[in-house]
Amino acid sequence: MKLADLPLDELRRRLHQPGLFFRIEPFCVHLHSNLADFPPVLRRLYADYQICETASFADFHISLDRSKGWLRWWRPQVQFWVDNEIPFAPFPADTALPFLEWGLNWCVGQRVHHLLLLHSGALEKNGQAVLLPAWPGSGKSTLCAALNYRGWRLLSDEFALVRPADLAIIPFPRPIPLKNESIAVIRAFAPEAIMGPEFPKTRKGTVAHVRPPRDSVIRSQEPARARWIIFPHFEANAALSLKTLPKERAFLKLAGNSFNYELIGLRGFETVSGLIDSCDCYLLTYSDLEQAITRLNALAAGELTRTDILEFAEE
Amino acid sequence: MIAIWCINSLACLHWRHWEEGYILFNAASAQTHMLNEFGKAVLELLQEAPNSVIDLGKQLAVHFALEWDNRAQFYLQSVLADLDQLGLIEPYVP
Repeated sequence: MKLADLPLDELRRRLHQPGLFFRIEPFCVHLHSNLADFPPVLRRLYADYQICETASFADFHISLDRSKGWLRWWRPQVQFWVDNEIPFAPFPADTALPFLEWGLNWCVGQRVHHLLLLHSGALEKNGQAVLLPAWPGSGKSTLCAALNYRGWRLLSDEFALVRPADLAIIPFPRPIPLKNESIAVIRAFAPEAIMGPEFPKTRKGTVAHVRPPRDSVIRSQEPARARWIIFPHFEANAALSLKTLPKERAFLKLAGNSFNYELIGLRGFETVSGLIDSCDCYLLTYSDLEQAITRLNALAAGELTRTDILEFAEE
Repeated sequence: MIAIWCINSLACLHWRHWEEGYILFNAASAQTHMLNEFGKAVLELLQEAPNSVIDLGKQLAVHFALEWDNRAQFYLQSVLADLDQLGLIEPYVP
Protein backbone atom coordinates (compact mmCIF):
# COMPACT_ATOMS: atom_id res chain seq x y z
CA MET A 1 0.00 0.00 0.00
CA LYS A 2 1.19 3.51 -0.86
CA LEU A 3 0.86 6.58 1.32
CA ALA A 4 -1.67 8.02 -1.12
CA ASP A 5 -3.90 4.98 -0.57
CA LEU A 6 -4.18 5.71 3.12
CA PRO A 7 -7.20 7.89 4.06
CA LEU A 8 -6.05 11.10 5.67
CA ASP A 9 -7.69 10.29 9.00
CA GLU A 10 -5.97 6.92 9.07
CA LEU A 11 -2.62 8.49 8.18
CA ARG A 12 -3.11 11.01 10.97
CA ARG A 13 -4.01 8.24 13.43
CA ARG A 14 -0.99 6.13 12.49
CA LEU A 15 1.38 9.07 12.67
CA HIS A 16 0.09 9.79 16.13
CA GLN A 17 0.20 6.21 17.36
CA PRO A 18 2.06 3.89 16.81
CA GLY A 19 3.87 5.89 14.13
CA LEU A 20 4.02 5.31 10.40
CA PHE A 21 6.52 2.80 9.00
CA PHE A 22 7.25 3.54 5.35
CA ARG A 23 10.05 2.98 2.88
CA ILE A 24 12.21 5.73 1.49
CA GLU A 25 14.46 3.30 -0.34
CA PRO A 26 16.91 2.00 0.69
CA PHE A 27 15.71 2.80 4.21
CA CYS A 28 12.68 2.15 6.37
CA VAL A 29 11.56 5.19 8.34
CA HIS A 30 9.41 5.07 11.43
CA LEU A 31 7.78 8.48 11.68
CA HIS A 32 5.69 9.76 14.55
CA SER A 33 3.96 13.12 14.61
CA ASN A 34 1.17 14.80 16.52
CA LEU A 35 1.14 17.89 14.26
CA ALA A 36 -2.32 18.53 12.84
CA ASP A 37 -1.17 20.30 9.65
CA PHE A 38 1.60 17.88 8.75
CA PRO A 39 -0.16 14.71 7.43
CA PRO A 40 -1.66 16.31 4.26
CA VAL A 41 1.73 17.76 3.28
CA LEU A 42 3.47 14.44 3.93
CA ARG A 43 0.88 12.59 1.87
CA ARG A 44 1.14 15.02 -1.02
CA LEU A 45 4.94 14.76 -1.32
CA TYR A 46 5.35 11.10 -0.38
CA ALA A 47 2.22 9.85 -2.16
CA ASP A 48 3.91 6.99 -4.01
CA TYR A 49 6.08 5.64 -1.19
CA GLN A 50 5.31 2.21 0.18
CA ILE A 51 3.91 1.75 3.66
CA CYS A 52 5.33 -1.15 5.65
CA GLU A 53 2.37 -2.90 7.19
CA THR A 54 4.36 -5.22 9.40
CA ALA A 55 7.51 -3.29 10.10
CA SER A 56 9.70 -4.76 12.78
CA PHE A 57 12.84 -2.81 11.92
CA ALA A 58 13.35 0.80 10.97
CA ASP A 59 16.62 2.51 10.10
CA PHE A 60 15.45 5.77 11.64
CA HIS A 61 12.87 6.35 14.38
CA ILE A 62 11.84 9.97 13.95
CA SER A 63 9.32 12.10 15.81
CA LEU A 64 8.11 15.52 14.81
CA ASP A 65 6.17 16.85 17.74
CA ARG A 66 5.16 20.19 19.10
CA SER A 67 7.58 21.60 21.64
CA LYS A 68 6.15 21.49 25.13
CA GLY A 69 7.67 24.65 26.61
CA TRP A 70 5.76 27.86 27.21
CA LEU A 71 6.68 28.99 23.66
CA ARG A 72 3.96 26.63 22.41
CA TRP A 73 1.43 29.42 23.04
CA TRP A 74 3.51 32.33 21.82
CA ARG A 75 5.58 30.91 18.97
CA PRO A 76 4.59 27.29 18.33
CA GLN A 77 7.58 25.14 17.50
CA VAL A 78 8.28 21.65 16.27
CA GLN A 79 10.92 19.42 17.75
CA PHE A 80 12.81 16.75 15.77
CA TRP A 81 13.58 13.58 17.68
CA VAL A 82 15.59 10.65 16.40
CA ASP A 83 15.94 7.55 18.53
CA ASN A 84 14.74 9.56 21.53
CA GLU A 85 17.42 12.20 21.12
CA ILE A 86 17.04 15.84 20.05
CA PRO A 87 19.91 16.77 17.72
CA PHE A 88 18.69 20.27 16.77
CA ALA A 89 17.07 23.36 18.20
CA PRO A 90 13.34 23.44 17.38
CA PHE A 91 11.93 24.96 14.20
CA PRO A 92 8.75 27.03 13.76
CA ALA A 93 5.77 24.67 13.84
CA ASP A 94 4.73 25.51 10.29
CA THR A 95 8.02 24.23 8.82
CA ALA A 96 7.65 20.59 9.81
CA LEU A 97 8.21 19.21 6.30
CA PRO A 98 11.52 21.03 5.65
CA PHE A 99 12.54 20.05 9.17
CA LEU A 100 11.82 16.39 8.38
CA GLU A 101 13.85 16.59 5.17
CA TRP A 102 16.85 18.27 6.79
CA GLY A 103 16.63 15.99 9.80
CA LEU A 104 16.54 12.91 7.60
CA ASN A 105 19.58 14.23 5.71
CA TRP A 106 21.35 14.59 9.02
CA CYS A 107 20.44 11.02 10.01
CA VAL A 108 21.82 9.65 6.75
CA GLY A 109 24.95 11.79 6.92
CA GLN A 110 25.63 10.71 10.49
CA ARG A 111 24.92 7.03 10.24
CA VAL A 112 25.09 5.57 6.77
CA HIS A 113 28.76 4.74 6.43
CA HIS A 114 28.56 1.41 4.64
CA LEU A 115 28.00 3.57 1.52
CA LEU A 116 29.95 6.49 0.09
CA LEU A 117 27.76 9.56 0.52
CA LEU A 118 28.13 12.24 -2.12
CA HIS A 119 26.48 15.62 -1.98
CA SER A 120 25.23 15.12 -5.46
CA GLY A 121 22.22 14.79 -7.65
CA ALA A 122 21.97 11.48 -9.45
CA LEU A 123 19.73 10.63 -12.39
CA GLU A 124 19.52 7.73 -14.80
CA LYS A 125 18.59 7.33 -18.43
CA ASN A 126 18.81 4.13 -20.47
CA GLY A 127 20.63 2.38 -17.66
CA GLN A 128 23.37 5.00 -17.31
CA ALA A 129 23.58 7.48 -14.48
CA VAL A 130 24.87 11.00 -14.29
CA LEU A 131 26.21 12.36 -11.02
CA LEU A 132 25.78 16.10 -10.41
CA PRO A 133 27.97 16.88 -7.40
CA ALA A 134 27.74 20.44 -6.14
CA TRP A 135 27.48 22.52 -3.04
CA PRO A 136 24.43 24.72 -2.30
CA GLY A 137 23.76 27.59 -4.65
CA SER A 138 25.09 25.88 -7.76
CA GLY A 139 21.70 25.14 -9.30
CA LYS A 140 21.97 21.39 -8.66
CA SER A 141 18.44 20.86 -7.38
CA THR A 142 16.91 22.97 -10.13
CA LEU A 143 18.77 21.00 -12.78
CA CYS A 144 17.82 17.73 -11.07
CA ALA A 145 14.14 18.64 -11.04
CA ALA A 146 14.26 19.76 -14.66
CA LEU A 147 16.01 16.57 -15.84
CA ASN A 148 13.63 14.49 -13.77
CA TYR A 149 10.68 16.08 -15.60
CA ARG A 150 12.33 15.54 -18.98
CA GLY A 151 12.63 11.78 -18.85
CA TRP A 152 15.53 11.14 -16.50
CA ARG A 153 14.83 8.90 -13.50
CA LEU A 154 15.64 10.55 -10.19
CA LEU A 155 18.03 8.50 -8.09
CA SER A 156 18.75 11.28 -5.66
CA ASP A 157 18.88 15.02 -5.34
CA GLU A 158 20.77 15.49 -2.10
CA PHE A 159 22.66 12.26 -1.48
CA ALA A 160 24.11 10.05 -4.15
CA LEU A 161 24.62 6.74 -2.36
CA VAL A 162 27.45 4.68 -3.83
CA ARG A 163 27.95 1.03 -2.88
CA PRO A 164 31.72 0.46 -2.58
CA ALA A 165 31.59 -3.23 -3.56
CA ASP A 166 30.31 -2.65 -7.10
CA LEU A 167 30.02 1.16 -7.47
CA ALA A 168 26.25 0.88 -7.89
CA ILE A 169 24.34 4.11 -7.36
CA ILE A 170 21.62 3.17 -4.90
CA PRO A 171 18.41 5.15 -5.50
CA PHE A 172 17.30 7.41 -2.69
CA PRO A 173 14.62 9.49 -4.40
CA ARG A 174 12.99 12.10 -2.22
CA PRO A 175 11.15 15.38 -2.74
CA ILE A 176 13.50 17.90 -4.34
CA PRO A 177 13.86 21.10 -2.31
CA LEU A 178 13.80 24.20 -4.49
CA LYS A 179 14.84 27.51 -3.08
CA ASN A 180 13.74 31.05 -3.83
CA GLU A 181 13.78 31.89 -7.57
CA SER A 182 14.09 28.22 -8.54
CA ILE A 183 10.53 27.58 -7.40
CA ALA A 184 9.01 29.80 -10.10
CA VAL A 185 11.55 28.52 -12.64
CA ILE A 186 10.42 24.92 -12.20
CA ARG A 187 6.74 25.86 -12.03
CA ALA A 188 7.14 27.44 -15.47
CA PHE A 189 9.45 24.73 -16.82
CA ALA A 190 7.33 21.77 -15.72
CA PRO A 191 3.77 22.91 -14.95
CA GLU A 192 2.83 19.27 -14.44
CA ALA A 193 5.24 18.94 -11.51
CA ILE A 194 3.47 18.38 -8.22
CA MET A 195 4.83 20.67 -5.57
CA GLY A 196 4.30 21.08 -1.87
CA PRO A 197 3.57 24.34 -0.10
CA GLU A 198 6.06 27.18 -0.04
CA PHE A 199 7.84 27.63 3.27
CA PRO A 200 9.05 31.22 3.55
CA LYS A 201 11.71 32.47 5.95
CA THR A 202 13.60 29.21 6.37
CA ARG A 203 17.39 29.33 6.83
CA LYS A 204 17.68 28.99 3.06
CA GLY A 205 14.96 31.48 2.21
CA THR A 206 11.71 30.25 0.70
CA VAL A 207 11.68 26.50 0.10
CA ALA A 208 9.20 24.36 -1.81
CA HIS A 209 9.52 20.66 -2.60
CA VAL A 210 8.90 18.91 -5.91
CA ARG A 211 7.40 15.46 -5.68
CA PRO A 212 9.46 12.94 -7.69
CA PRO A 213 7.48 11.41 -10.57
CA ARG A 214 5.92 8.05 -9.74
CA ASP A 215 8.32 6.11 -11.97
CA SER A 216 11.32 7.31 -9.95
CA VAL A 217 9.73 6.11 -6.72
CA ILE A 218 8.40 2.81 -8.06
CA ARG A 219 11.83 1.93 -9.47
CA SER A 220 13.70 2.93 -6.34
CA GLN A 221 15.06 -0.59 -5.86
CA GLU A 222 16.86 -0.48 -9.22
CA PRO A 223 20.47 0.68 -8.84
CA ALA A 224 22.30 2.28 -11.76
CA ARG A 225 25.88 2.58 -12.98
CA ALA A 226 27.48 5.99 -13.14
CA ARG A 227 28.67 7.00 -16.61
CA TRP A 228 29.17 10.75 -16.26
CA ILE A 229 30.24 13.06 -13.46
CA ILE A 230 29.17 16.62 -14.21
CA PHE A 231 29.82 19.50 -11.84
CA PRO A 232 26.99 21.98 -12.52
CA HIS A 233 27.21 25.69 -11.99
CA PHE A 234 24.33 28.07 -12.59
CA GLU A 235 25.39 31.54 -13.65
CA ALA A 236 22.81 34.11 -14.71
CA ASN A 237 23.10 35.03 -18.39
CA ALA A 238 26.07 32.72 -18.92
CA ALA A 239 26.48 30.96 -22.23
CA LEU A 240 26.12 27.20 -21.97
CA SER A 241 29.44 25.41 -21.71
CA LEU A 242 30.37 21.80 -21.15
CA LYS A 243 34.08 21.39 -20.47
CA THR A 244 36.10 18.24 -19.99
CA LEU A 245 37.64 18.02 -16.56
CA PRO A 246 40.93 16.19 -16.05
CA LYS A 247 40.32 13.14 -13.92
CA GLU A 248 42.67 14.07 -11.11
CA ARG A 249 40.82 17.35 -10.64
CA ALA A 250 37.50 15.57 -10.87
CA PHE A 251 38.73 13.17 -8.18
CA LEU A 252 39.50 16.00 -5.77
CA LYS A 253 36.22 17.78 -6.49
CA LEU A 254 34.20 14.60 -6.08
CA ALA A 255 35.95 13.61 -2.85
CA GLY A 256 35.43 17.17 -1.63
CA ASN A 257 31.70 16.77 -2.26
CA SER A 258 31.50 13.67 -0.09
CA PHE A 259 30.15 13.64 3.44
CA ASN A 260 32.11 10.60 4.57
CA TYR A 261 35.04 10.13 2.17
CA GLU A 262 37.68 10.58 4.87
CA LEU A 263 35.62 8.80 7.50
CA ILE A 264 35.45 5.53 5.57
CA GLY A 265 39.15 5.69 4.75
CA LEU A 266 40.59 3.49 2.03
CA ARG A 267 37.11 2.34 0.93
CA GLY A 268 36.30 5.96 0.16
CA PHE A 269 39.47 6.41 -1.88
CA GLU A 270 38.89 3.21 -3.83
CA THR A 271 35.22 4.03 -4.43
CA VAL A 272 35.93 7.52 -5.72
CA SER A 273 38.78 6.09 -7.84
CA GLY A 274 36.39 3.54 -9.30
CA LEU A 275 33.86 6.23 -10.17
CA ILE A 276 36.53 8.36 -11.84
CA ASP A 277 37.73 5.29 -13.78
CA SER A 278 34.29 4.57 -15.14
CA CYS A 279 32.99 8.08 -15.81
CA ASP A 280 33.64 10.94 -18.18
CA CYS A 281 34.01 14.11 -16.15
CA TYR A 282 32.81 17.60 -17.07
CA LEU A 283 32.17 21.09 -15.81
CA LEU A 284 28.77 22.45 -16.86
CA THR A 285 27.96 26.15 -16.74
CA TYR A 286 24.39 27.04 -17.61
CA SER A 287 21.78 29.73 -17.31
CA ASP A 288 19.05 28.26 -19.52
CA LEU A 289 17.55 24.96 -18.39
CA GLU A 290 16.29 23.90 -21.83
CA GLN A 291 19.76 24.38 -23.32
CA ALA A 292 21.39 22.47 -20.49
CA ILE A 293 18.99 19.56 -20.84
CA THR A 294 19.36 19.43 -24.61
CA ARG A 295 23.14 19.23 -24.17
CA LEU A 296 22.92 16.53 -21.49
CA ASN A 297 20.44 14.51 -23.54
CA ALA A 298 22.81 14.68 -26.50
CA LEU A 299 25.67 13.58 -24.26
CA ALA A 300 23.63 10.62 -23.03
CA ALA A 301 22.70 9.71 -26.61
CA GLY A 302 26.33 9.92 -27.76
CA GLU A 303 25.38 12.68 -30.17
CA LEU A 304 27.74 15.43 -29.07
CA THR A 305 30.30 16.63 -31.55
CA ARG A 306 33.78 17.82 -30.64
CA THR A 307 32.64 21.42 -30.88
CA ASP A 308 30.00 20.83 -28.20
CA ILE A 309 32.64 20.01 -25.60
CA LEU A 310 35.31 22.50 -24.61
CA GLU A 311 38.76 21.54 -23.48
CA PHE A 312 39.62 22.30 -19.88
CA ALA A 313 41.76 25.37 -19.41
CA GLU A 314 43.17 26.71 -16.18
CA GLU A 315 41.39 29.94 -15.18
CA MET B 1 68.46 21.83 8.00
CA ILE B 2 67.45 18.16 7.94
CA ALA B 3 70.23 16.07 6.38
CA ILE B 4 68.42 12.81 5.71
CA TRP B 5 64.74 12.20 5.03
CA CYS B 6 62.60 9.06 5.01
CA ILE B 7 58.96 8.16 4.48
CA ASN B 8 56.86 8.74 7.60
CA SER B 9 56.83 5.37 9.32
CA LEU B 10 53.06 5.63 9.88
CA ALA B 11 52.21 6.56 6.31
CA CYS B 12 50.34 4.05 4.17
CA LEU B 13 50.35 5.39 0.63
CA HIS B 14 48.01 4.57 -2.25
CA TRP B 15 48.46 6.14 -5.68
CA ARG B 16 46.22 6.80 -8.68
CA HIS B 17 47.11 8.42 -11.95
CA TRP B 18 44.91 9.23 -14.95
CA GLU B 19 45.83 12.20 -17.10
CA GLU B 20 47.75 14.84 -15.20
CA GLY B 21 49.36 14.71 -11.79
CA TYR B 22 49.08 11.97 -9.18
CA ILE B 23 46.45 11.42 -6.52
CA LEU B 24 47.93 10.16 -3.28
CA PHE B 25 45.85 8.78 -0.44
CA ASN B 26 47.50 8.32 2.94
CA ALA B 27 45.41 5.69 4.72
CA ALA B 28 47.05 6.63 8.03
CA SER B 29 45.60 10.14 7.96
CA ALA B 30 42.75 9.59 5.45
CA GLN B 31 44.08 12.67 3.66
CA THR B 32 44.27 12.97 -0.10
CA HIS B 33 46.87 14.97 -2.00
CA MET B 34 47.55 15.82 -5.61
CA LEU B 35 51.21 15.76 -6.55
CA ASN B 36 53.11 16.55 -9.69
CA GLU B 37 55.72 14.25 -11.22
CA PHE B 38 58.47 15.77 -9.13
CA GLY B 39 56.71 15.20 -5.81
CA LYS B 40 55.87 11.66 -6.85
CA ALA B 41 59.50 10.96 -7.74
CA VAL B 42 60.71 12.32 -4.40
CA LEU B 43 58.33 10.08 -2.48
CA GLU B 44 59.22 7.04 -4.57
CA LEU B 45 62.92 7.56 -3.95
CA LEU B 46 62.31 7.92 -0.23
CA GLN B 47 60.13 4.80 -0.26
CA GLU B 48 63.14 2.89 -1.58
CA ALA B 49 65.38 4.09 1.23
CA PRO B 50 66.14 7.09 3.46
CA ASN B 51 68.10 9.62 1.48
CA SER B 52 70.06 12.81 1.92
CA VAL B 53 69.01 16.01 0.21
CA ILE B 54 72.19 16.01 -1.84
CA ASP B 55 71.80 12.42 -3.04
CA LEU B 56 68.10 12.98 -3.73
CA GLY B 57 69.06 15.93 -5.90
CA LYS B 58 71.56 13.85 -7.86
CA GLN B 59 69.07 11.05 -8.44
CA LEU B 60 66.31 13.45 -9.46
CA ALA B 61 68.65 15.19 -11.88
CA VAL B 62 69.28 11.85 -13.58
CA HIS B 63 65.62 10.85 -13.45
CA PHE B 64 64.42 14.04 -15.10
CA ALA B 65 67.56 14.60 -17.22
CA LEU B 66 67.95 18.07 -15.76
CA GLU B 67 70.91 20.15 -14.86
CA TRP B 68 70.92 20.40 -11.09
CA ASP B 69 71.45 24.01 -10.03
CA ASN B 70 70.68 26.15 -7.01
CA ARG B 71 67.10 26.77 -8.09
CA ALA B 72 66.45 23.05 -8.41
CA GLN B 73 68.00 22.52 -4.99
CA PHE B 74 65.77 25.25 -3.53
CA TYR B 75 62.68 23.69 -5.15
CA LEU B 76 63.60 20.28 -3.73
CA GLN B 77 63.94 21.80 -0.26
CA SER B 78 60.51 23.42 -0.52
CA VAL B 79 58.91 20.17 -1.73
CA LEU B 80 60.51 18.27 1.16
CA ALA B 81 59.18 20.88 3.59
CA ASP B 82 55.69 20.50 2.12
CA LEU B 83 55.80 16.70 2.29
CA ASP B 84 57.01 16.93 5.88
CA GLN B 85 54.17 19.29 6.76
CA LEU B 86 51.67 16.86 5.22
CA GLY B 87 53.04 14.08 7.40
CA LEU B 88 54.26 12.07 4.45
CA ILE B 89 57.99 12.17 5.26
CA GLU B 90 60.02 12.72 8.40
CA PRO B 91 63.65 13.27 9.41
CA TYR B 92 65.53 9.99 9.41
CA VAL B 93 66.76 8.85 12.80
CA PRO B 94 69.11 5.85 12.43
